Amino acid sequence: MMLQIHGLYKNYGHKRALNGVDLEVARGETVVIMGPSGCGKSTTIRCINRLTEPDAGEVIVGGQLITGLDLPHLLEARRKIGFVFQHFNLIQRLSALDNVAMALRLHGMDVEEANGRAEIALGKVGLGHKLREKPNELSGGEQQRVGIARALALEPEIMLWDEPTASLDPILVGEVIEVMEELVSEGRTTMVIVTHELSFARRAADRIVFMDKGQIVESGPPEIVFEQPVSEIGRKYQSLLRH
Amino acid sequence: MKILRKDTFVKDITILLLVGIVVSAVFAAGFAMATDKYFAKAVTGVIGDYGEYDLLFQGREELKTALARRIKEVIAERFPGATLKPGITVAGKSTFFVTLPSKYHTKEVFDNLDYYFKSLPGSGSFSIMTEPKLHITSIPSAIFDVIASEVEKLPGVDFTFHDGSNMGVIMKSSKVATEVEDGIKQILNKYQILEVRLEKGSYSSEDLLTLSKNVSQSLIGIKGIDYAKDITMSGSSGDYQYLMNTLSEVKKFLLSYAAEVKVVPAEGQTLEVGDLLVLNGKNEKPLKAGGVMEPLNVVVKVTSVDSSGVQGLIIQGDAEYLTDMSAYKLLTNDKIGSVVGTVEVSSRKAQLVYAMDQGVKLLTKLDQAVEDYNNSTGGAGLTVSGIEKAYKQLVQVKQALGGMKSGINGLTGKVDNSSLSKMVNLISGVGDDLDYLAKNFGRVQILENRFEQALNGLDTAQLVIGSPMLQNAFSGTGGVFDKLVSLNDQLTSVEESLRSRVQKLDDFINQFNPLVSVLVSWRNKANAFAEQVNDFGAVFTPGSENYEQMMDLIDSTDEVLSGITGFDMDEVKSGLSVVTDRIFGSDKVDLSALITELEKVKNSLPNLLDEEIGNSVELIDKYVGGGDASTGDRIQIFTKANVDRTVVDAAIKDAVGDSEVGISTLPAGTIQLDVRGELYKILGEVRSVIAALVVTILWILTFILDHSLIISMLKQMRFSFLPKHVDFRSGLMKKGYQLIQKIFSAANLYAFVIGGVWLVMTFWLAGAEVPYLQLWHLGIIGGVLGIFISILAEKINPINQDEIMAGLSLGLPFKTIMREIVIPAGRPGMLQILNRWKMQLR
Ligand SMILES: Nc1ncnc2c1ncn2[C@@H]1O[C@H](COP(=O)(O)OP(=O)(O)O)[C@@H](O)[C@H]1O
Ligand SMILES: [Mg+2]
Repeated sequence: MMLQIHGLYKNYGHKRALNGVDLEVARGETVVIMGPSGCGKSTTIRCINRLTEPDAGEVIVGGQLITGLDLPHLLEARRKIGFVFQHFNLIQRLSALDNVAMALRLHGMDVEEANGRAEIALGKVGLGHKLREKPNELSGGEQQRVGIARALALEPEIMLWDEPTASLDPILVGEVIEVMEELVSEGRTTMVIVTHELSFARRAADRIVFMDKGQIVESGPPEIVFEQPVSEIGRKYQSLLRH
Repeated sequence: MKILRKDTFVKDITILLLVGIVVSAVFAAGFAMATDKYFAKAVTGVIGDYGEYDLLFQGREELKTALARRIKEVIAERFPGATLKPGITVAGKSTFFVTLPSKYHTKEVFDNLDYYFKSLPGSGSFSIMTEPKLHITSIPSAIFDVIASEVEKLPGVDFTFHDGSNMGVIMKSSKVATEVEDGIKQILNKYQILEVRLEKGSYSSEDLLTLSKNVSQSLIGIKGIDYAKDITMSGSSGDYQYLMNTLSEVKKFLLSYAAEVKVVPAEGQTLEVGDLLVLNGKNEKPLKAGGVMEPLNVVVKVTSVDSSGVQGLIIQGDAEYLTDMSAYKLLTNDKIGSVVGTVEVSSRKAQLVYAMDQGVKLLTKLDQAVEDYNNSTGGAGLTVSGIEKAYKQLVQVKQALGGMKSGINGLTGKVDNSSLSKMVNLISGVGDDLDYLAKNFGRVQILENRFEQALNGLDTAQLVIGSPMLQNAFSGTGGVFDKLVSLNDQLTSVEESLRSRVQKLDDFINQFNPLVSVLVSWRNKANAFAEQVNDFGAVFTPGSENYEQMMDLIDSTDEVLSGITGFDMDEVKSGLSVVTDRIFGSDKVDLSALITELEKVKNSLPNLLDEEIGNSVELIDKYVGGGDASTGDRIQIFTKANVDRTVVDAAIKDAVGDSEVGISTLPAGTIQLDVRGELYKILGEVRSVIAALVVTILWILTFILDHSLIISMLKQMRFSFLPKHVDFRSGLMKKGYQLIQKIFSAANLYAFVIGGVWLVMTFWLAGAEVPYLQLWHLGIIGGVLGIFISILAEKINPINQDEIMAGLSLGLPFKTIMREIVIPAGRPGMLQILNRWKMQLR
């Protein structure tokens, strides 16, 4: 198992965001999490690298109990967990190249090597020609691809995606989906993707997980959960697909 | 929380703080020092080197050549060898420096500089720059000399002089400056000025003067107080106060000399202060409503209207000109209005002159009477010896009568012729003596009568001369007052001795009056008897008319003799000699000298018309300000500093008649540095204020540029030292706890503590100062400003949460996130500069 989540709970004040989430993801598996807004998808994947601290429960990544790590070890563990944000979260002052090379350099790699690897990562997302551009000189799709390259550059064991296309213009969504599909098809990295892109999910996911009210309500391969959903949420997505 | 505590970013902040504080302090101090240097240089440029110049002149630029010429003239005349040097011209004012040769560094020269350099062209003025010099300011002029003489005794002091209302002290060398300053302090500390604050407006300046004199006099005599000087009217503004003082005395004198005009308003008429009334005086046409006033009318101005009535002052004409007492109102343009009342005038001036005249007349008469009596008769003593002589003669007459009676022939009634003629001779001789006696006695009676008259006259004169009104009026006016007092004293002693003499003479007359009248009637009888005997022959047949007459004469002679015998001649004599001795002998009263004196006083009285008095009083009022105390409502008494305040205060309160009156202590003077010292002191203050300004600006800069970012970060992280979740049952308490959490958030605490510490440290290091503020004040101010910055932090220096999240997701530690992401994205400041050393991705 690449990822194991057991009995994850999270409260925001009196508001319960996660109400006992259990999830296991095999190495190389691509899992798409779907569910209505506010059901706890983001909270769940942010708990995986502890950008959000869970109140209770265990997270194990690659056999390492993330929830039990002290700060230095946690920081180290985060390097193997790539994260792609809905809003790209690029460092505005840095060029595309530096954005991607930053983590490598700060983790001790010399500049040449780091830049080389960053260039490769950017090439992989189709931005080999825009190394020097600053985020504000790039389109939304390009920015998100830089974000993807940044995560990739660290060669993570697992990549977490939090609605990577949700803040893009519809015409720009495609180029990002394309990159994602390519990465998935490579099958080298375990992926946990939160997205509302139904067609992408159907094509790319090994498994679909439906969440509702802080809990996982249904889980299964797309052809099953979309054709014969058992949960209420599942049925809603089914009807969405039909129309 | 853990992140911050464990991370070395705390070190970064510490470095930022230390570097920030030190750099700011150094910068502020350096800036201040630079301005200081600049100003000091400027000062030297403006006022020369230490001791270089003695006098600094300044005047309007346009007239600078005239000013220079005038200075040169004075120098040539008074200070040969002195040099003149032009200074700078600033803001339309040109300056000149004069250096005096050291032989002119004397008290006389310095005290007279004002006089030498009077009325300089171009509104020119000068100040004394001679160094080393000290100033003592706020010395009341009345005690200037007291302090000056003591200061001049100090070893390091060359001389003192009047510098405006201050005391300039020239020292022998700048090395003794501190010693001299200490010495002066000791002198000043020996004295104090007690200031009695009176209720505002409750005293006129005249009342205040009287009160302050009373207060200072009440203090002298109290145990331990050998010195109390009233300096109420001699504030530190010196000459002006003296003038005020004198003017109010003059006003007081004039008013008491003026005619007292009481206005009795007619029914239904009201008068106000300032109203003018016209009366008939030496004018030809009598006043008539609707007419126009003439110069010879008498005009009265209403000066006070209160419960005691309406008072006025004659401002045109004189009380003596008044021909009737109806007062017409004076309207605008000298028009005469209706009658508004009558006046009652008592001219004190006229009374006084009358009293003097009367005195002179009376004393002259008295003198003559005494002279008369003395020269012509030898006094009452003659009367006594006349009676003695009469007694002896009467005894002889009695014997003669007895002899005659026994010599009568029983049958014929004839008398022995020789004894008869002897008796007749005797009787006629006695008669002459008795006439003389009676005449003498009459003189005594006249003298007594004159004395009595003089006494009555003296009473009137004394009533005027010795009246409290006049005494008050002339008190403090020197000559006139003293003369009046001595005159009054002399008149009193004249009156006393006159009174005792009149008494003695009275007694004498009362005793001798019956005796003299008996003697006179005896003489008449005896004369008639002698005549009859002469004319009709001496037949004394018992039962005849002659015989009866003789018997009658014998009887009355017996009677007279027994009367005289019962009279103690010696006693009467000695009593009378006292009277005569004291009047005409060693008497201390010299009447003729007294008369001259009285005439002199009379002539020295101002020959003023009431209008002159009235106008003068008006003029003084205009100048002094309506008689209100221009010195403010306070009394100042100069005393030693070591007096027992409880006793003194009690005495003052007693004299003022107010146990609540406030009494404070003022120093006898205040030491001040010379111009240069003053300038340097001001420069020092300017320097520390400039440093404070720079420090404050740097505080604001560093907080806006640097610390606001850290505060923003702390806020972003919702960092708090208080437990995040505490279970409260009530929602209200929970809300309250949240508020407390918000207020005592790490961001606010950081802002307050760092804000305060930063400001205090930089102020302290830079030597910055703000008047009235102490360091702990600044700590609080810095803290409060910090909170203010904290409130605005996210607006001043916003933090991109997304970038931080990215950093965290990449496994970057907090310090790296700060150095590589947060700080470079923030405002450019000290933090960014310092951060560049550590940043990897430039
Ligand atoms: N930082 C936060 N503070 C308070 N509530 C939060 C916070 N983040 C998420 N939540 C709440 O937790 C629930 C789950 O949120 P989230 O995981 O973002 O939902 P999703 O990603 O499925 O839309 C929502 O009700 C949301 O309002
Ligand atoms: Mg979400």
